[in-house]
Amino acid sequence: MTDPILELRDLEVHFNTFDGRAEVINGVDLTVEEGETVAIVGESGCGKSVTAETVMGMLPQPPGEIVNGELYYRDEELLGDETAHERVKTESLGMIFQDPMTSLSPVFTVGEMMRDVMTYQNKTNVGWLEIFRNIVGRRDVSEADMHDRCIELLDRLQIPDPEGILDRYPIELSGGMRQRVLIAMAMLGEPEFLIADEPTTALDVTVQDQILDLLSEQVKREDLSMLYITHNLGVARRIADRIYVMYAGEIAEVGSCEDILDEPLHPYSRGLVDSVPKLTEFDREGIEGLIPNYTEPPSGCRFHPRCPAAVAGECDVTRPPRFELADGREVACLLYEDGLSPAAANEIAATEADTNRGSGTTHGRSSGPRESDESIESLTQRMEDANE
Amino acid sequence: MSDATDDRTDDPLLRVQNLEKYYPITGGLLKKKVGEVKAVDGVSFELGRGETLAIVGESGCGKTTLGKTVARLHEPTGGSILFDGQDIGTLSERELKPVRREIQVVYQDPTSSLNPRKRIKDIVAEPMTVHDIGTKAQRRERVVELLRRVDLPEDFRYRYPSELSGGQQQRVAIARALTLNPSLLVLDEPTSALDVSVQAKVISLLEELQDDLGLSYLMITHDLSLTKNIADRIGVMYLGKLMEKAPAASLFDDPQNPYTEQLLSAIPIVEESEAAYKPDRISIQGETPDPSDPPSGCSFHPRCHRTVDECSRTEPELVDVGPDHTSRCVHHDDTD
Repeated sequence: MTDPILELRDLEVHFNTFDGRAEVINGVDLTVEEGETVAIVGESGCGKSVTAETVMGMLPQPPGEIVNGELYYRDEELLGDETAHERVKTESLGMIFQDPMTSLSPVFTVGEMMRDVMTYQNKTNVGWLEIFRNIVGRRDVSEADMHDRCIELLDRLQIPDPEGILDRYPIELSGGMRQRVLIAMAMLGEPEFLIADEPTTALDVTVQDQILDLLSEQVKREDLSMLYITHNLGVARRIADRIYVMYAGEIAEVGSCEDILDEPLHPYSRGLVDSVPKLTEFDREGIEGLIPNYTEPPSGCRFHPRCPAAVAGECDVTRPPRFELADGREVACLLYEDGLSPAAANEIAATEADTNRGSGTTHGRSSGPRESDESIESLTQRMEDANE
Repeated sequence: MSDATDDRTDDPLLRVQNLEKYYPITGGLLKKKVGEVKAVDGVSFELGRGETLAIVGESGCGKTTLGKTVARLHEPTGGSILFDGQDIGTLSERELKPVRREIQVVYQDPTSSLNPRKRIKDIVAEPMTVHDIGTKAQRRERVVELLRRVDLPEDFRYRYPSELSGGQQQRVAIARALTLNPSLLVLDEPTSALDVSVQAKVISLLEELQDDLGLSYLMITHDLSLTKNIADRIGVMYLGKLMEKAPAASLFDDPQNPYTEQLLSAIPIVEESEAAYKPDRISIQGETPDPSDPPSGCSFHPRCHRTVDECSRTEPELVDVGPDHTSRCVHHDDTD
């Protein structure tokens, strides 16, 4: 395996709040290989944006505090070395945010903003004199060069009439156009690594489709690596090579898109994938309960209070490590402790979940066959079969 | 305007005919009317008792305005809304009061639709206070009953909305809508603000309530996959007009309108098995145009992948393309 471009090891981030100390990120390991797109999926409040902010060096500190962890970008540790982080951030990282209206300034035109990005990129320290020179129009880079570069980028993002767009304010553009401008601005610094935090969440499906196409085109063309944060599993499938499923500040499951979405192993990813309304079917049971309170997170596995397959005395005591089941397929769940094959373990998890659910209140029209009324005998039989 | 015959139930709960809601654009010193935005432009549909009709469309297509106009939160500028045989489009505020008991609305964002300064018990009892129904004890009893109905613990009565999670808040909003035993609920993106695992539970609750109480739902949403699973019939809306209207099954198995095809093609699928329902990949052009200056002819023609010269000249009508299935496209005329 080649060296990963980005590696995050055992990250722990705490926040100091009025309610106490919130242990938001609890040991996240993450790698992105060269030229790979990795998606982090999870529901709101699971810590996916905090992870992205930490990588980008944009975590507000305080209230945030990086308690533990290492971040390697091309084998260079960044979390312990602020200047190195700043340098890598300006030289190699690019970020695309969710809401273009709050990340673009309403009082500057697109052209002014793009020129500023070009003037100040790759600079960590800018003196007053230089800022003054830039304001009066004596920039280091020539205006014509900057203009050409802007036009080229806007053109590549299929923005109609790029010349005209440069003189417009963000409010004059539609949502899709703003997002394109934002991507163009992230590309201005010629980054090697893109971090995209829900860039299509505010958009309609047809526009989202266009933006995803454009983004993957840019990534392929420039041979970029990308960390893509989203809550939409379908979007993750379209854009990513691998998916990290995150729950309550921990990574629940890692694998390729097909692995995770067609055959989820962790009880949380299973519940999540089942709950998404799909064109084929839709499981109306959802997941019981709520995301835990981070000031008093559950002991053991953080998912155990909501887990349909939780085993008392084990899941609430031991924090599950990530078991590697196959190449690149990792699951943080005690069900997979004994080195079962994914298929066998999956079977057990499914039957266990169904029997546990059968005793609870199930309502709503069922979607597709579910073997919830299976007898205990046949269940044990199947578990033995699976173990063989 | 629609020459499609609708031979559904003889006695639908709601029959909307050529509904129009135009907003004037004023300009100049004297605030003279210089144009209008046709937010809802000649929409017709019927909603049977105990049925769910979903209106899907992109942002700005007028689906929320349609819902609010049907609930008479807006006054229509044309057409009729026959609710239980009575045209409620022209009623005065005083005449509307009994109708308001029958039609209730649940909004997208529960944090902004629940008063943060009131306790849950007062929020749920508010409709009874407004309509002056019941004694204090009866109201208290009804609130307990309603909370149980939406699977919330009774002691939530004394809490404030901010102490509840998003899913629980939405349950309170549903309980409030049910207080006066309505027959029609207008659900305006009821689960868009919720996470999927919570959304599944709220949807399941809505279906259970529909089964038990015989409610009719007019559901407004942008999530096509969701409508496939819960709606009986679906209307696809674009720039104020219904582009296609069909039973859920036939809309997904056999979409007739190019716009529906594009919407379907743009859904990012989660599971491999879903691919069977998606038409071949269509590359989509542009974005929703400015509703104050809609394109000539068919309003969708600038973005359509099957556009021909005629599209910019003639505005197609809704025509029958199958049983209870109507669509609006110039290509339908060719086959007739």
